[in-house]
Amino acid sequence: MRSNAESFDGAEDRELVAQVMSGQSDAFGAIVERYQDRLYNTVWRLVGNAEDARDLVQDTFVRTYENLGSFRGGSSLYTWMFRIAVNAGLSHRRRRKPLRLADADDGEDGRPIGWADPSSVNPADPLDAAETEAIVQRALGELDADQRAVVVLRDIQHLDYQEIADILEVPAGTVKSRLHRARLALRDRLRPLLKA
Amino acid sequence: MNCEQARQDISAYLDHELPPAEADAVRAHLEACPDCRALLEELRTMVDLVGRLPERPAPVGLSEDVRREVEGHSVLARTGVGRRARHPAAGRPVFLPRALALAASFLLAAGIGTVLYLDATHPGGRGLFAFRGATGREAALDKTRLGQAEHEEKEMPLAIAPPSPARPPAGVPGEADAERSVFAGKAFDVQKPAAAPAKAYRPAFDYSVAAGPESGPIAPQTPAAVQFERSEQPQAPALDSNGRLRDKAGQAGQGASAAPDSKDARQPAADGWNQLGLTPGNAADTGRVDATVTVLADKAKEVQQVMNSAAFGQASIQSLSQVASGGNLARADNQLILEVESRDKANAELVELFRQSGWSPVGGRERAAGRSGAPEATVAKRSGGEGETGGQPPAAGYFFLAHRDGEDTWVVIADRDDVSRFGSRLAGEPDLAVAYDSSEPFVAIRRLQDRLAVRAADDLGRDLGQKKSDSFALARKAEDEKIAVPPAERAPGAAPTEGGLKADVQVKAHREERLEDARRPALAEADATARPPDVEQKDALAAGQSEPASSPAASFYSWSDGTLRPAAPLPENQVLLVIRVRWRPEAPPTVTADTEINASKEAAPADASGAATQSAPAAGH
Repeated sequence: MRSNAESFDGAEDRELVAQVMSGQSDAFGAIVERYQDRLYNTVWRLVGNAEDARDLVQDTFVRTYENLGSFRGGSSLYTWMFRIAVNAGLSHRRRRKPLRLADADDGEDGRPIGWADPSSVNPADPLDAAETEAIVQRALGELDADQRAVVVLRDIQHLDYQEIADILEVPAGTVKSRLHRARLALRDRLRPLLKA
Repeated sequence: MNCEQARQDISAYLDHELPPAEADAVRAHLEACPDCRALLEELRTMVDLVGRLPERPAPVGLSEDVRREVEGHSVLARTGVGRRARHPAAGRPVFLPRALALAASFLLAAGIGTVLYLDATHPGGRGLFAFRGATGREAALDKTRLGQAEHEEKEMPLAIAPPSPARPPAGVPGEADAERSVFAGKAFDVQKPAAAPAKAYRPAFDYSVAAGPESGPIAPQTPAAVQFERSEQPQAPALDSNGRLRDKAGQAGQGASAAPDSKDARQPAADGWNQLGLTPGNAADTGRVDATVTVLADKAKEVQQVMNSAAFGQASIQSLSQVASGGNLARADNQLILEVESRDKANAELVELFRQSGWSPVGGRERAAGRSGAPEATVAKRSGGEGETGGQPPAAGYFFLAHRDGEDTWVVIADRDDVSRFGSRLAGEPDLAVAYDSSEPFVAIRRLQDRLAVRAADDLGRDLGQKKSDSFALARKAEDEKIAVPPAERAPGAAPTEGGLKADVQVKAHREERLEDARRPALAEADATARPPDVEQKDALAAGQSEPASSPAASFYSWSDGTLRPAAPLPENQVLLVIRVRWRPEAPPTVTADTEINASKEAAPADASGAATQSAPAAGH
């Protein structure tokens, strides 16, 4: 369950940061390569769409680069970057109503079909992976932002409580209670799925 | 421990985050309490469910965009980081030592692409920045016609190798010099000796974009006639006296946009990269209206401004080209990336779609109005503020061809609904599959394209009577994940195909004709829902049959005190659309003699690019 967290390598990160600081700007590319998937996956789950996730992750990297001079290594680089990304994802609001191309793929209410409604699940009908994902994603999106963050960081990114606390800058005890409340709320929303 | 206490700790217990003593207490309670045990199991199931959500890998081109963004910002100046890496005359960090960049230029001259040059600067063979784009992810872009990012691991080989263009022995020196003067901003000149490796594109045909209804059908000539030359800078498109987008050097004497006079040389301040040097200077004698445009804050917005002002004669084509080149469009909101096999064909088809949308090339109408006295690349200053030139009706939208590194970038300003309809048309173009999109309508376009492609694959698979290939399965899975096709719509009992590579090649070969049949009903469906009630009115406007009371864009900007300023917020329905066309790198001209050498060079940068390189010969089997 700790596969993501375990692969972070603080020593390598510090070395890369030092290289960037010494003028080897392209070392930042290695940082981007190293973290882009994890950050993107995290932010995608926070905001629920690719477009905003891409923008936010890009912003995260740019901000990281901009502020690298103030990075003191007190926390790990990934904690620092996750903090930027998660805060961006949590404070994010959809900036604009995007262009609409009315498409046969859209649901009747105009909402993309990807946003399936958990309440519409019939336990008798088997769901495929895409449907399941859509339902879970929607339920995630309905959680409070703080709760969504702990669920994503714990149950998707598999970070431990202390790492989550570092990222969110809250006590570990808060992570524990917030995560429990979040899971209960999520369980309520996903109950049809869990029964299925 | 009672139930309430136990439930407070039950999530942490599940996560093994409790101290041993507390965990023991919870465990003891659970053994005695079936309700709490049930809750634990329910939470466990849910956590597993959430944990099994598929990973969403970073999209294609993200690292490249980050690189561009980081390069584009003078960020290190703020933190003091990396000052040694910055060229003293430039406002942004240099990512390559100049000598290496020159070496890279040499490699480029040898016909080796960006991938190799970048890799050559990192002897370890690990092009750290953006080369994922050039290696794994972007090389896999072709596959995204049938798949989504999460399915990129499998190659989707191409059956058709791009034609090898003829290449002149050398560039045209005078033109190269002229380009340097056009883009004389030091930052551009000094910073991108090799980072702007785009070869000057010389389409073998007139795009015939401006003439509207009277223009004839686009007739691409033989690809062998396409000529390339190296250029260090992006170039503005030339438009001839009929407003046609034209091959610059191929039409002698008409490529004025590529050869402006030296008076137009802009010299931004030392850190003037952030300021496009459109300072008033020679406006009086050239008829050019200059503006100071700050690109730093919102680059796409700036492009939109210059686009609009250029469309209405308030800014030069050069300034538009300048602002629309480089990384300025990397983060435009509505952005499509098309991965194509034939650059000529794709551009021609795009222009045809633009024409169908009633869009005109920027500046074309002004030239068509006969302002022959002005330099070719200059959009004559609008007179009197009537907003129109030559008494012609305004176009429904405007487009412009800018260049970025290694790709063509079409910039379109148009009405939202028109863009939407354009999307519908685009979805029906099998040669213009959307490889990446940044906004929901274009996601929808890609979905539609994917669905059509997968249906075609299914049809073919049925014909072949083979098992479904891995690629098909992936594509189908991608499709199913993205769209919920009603069961009735799915081909019932479609016999799967096997032999991924061979079948893929055949699918590739057959896809277009299959699509021809498959796309019509779906397109009609999408189009019918996409077209708003006022479509006839719009179409009439697009066809030039009616004319609004005033041009919408004409009032957006005002010229005062030597500065171009937005007169009012842009209307909600005007959007900037950026379409980036990428193509497979052409083989070097000496490919027949040096196939092995070149192949090994191209394969060197990364596995994926090598795989892409090898896919073409593999497809022949």
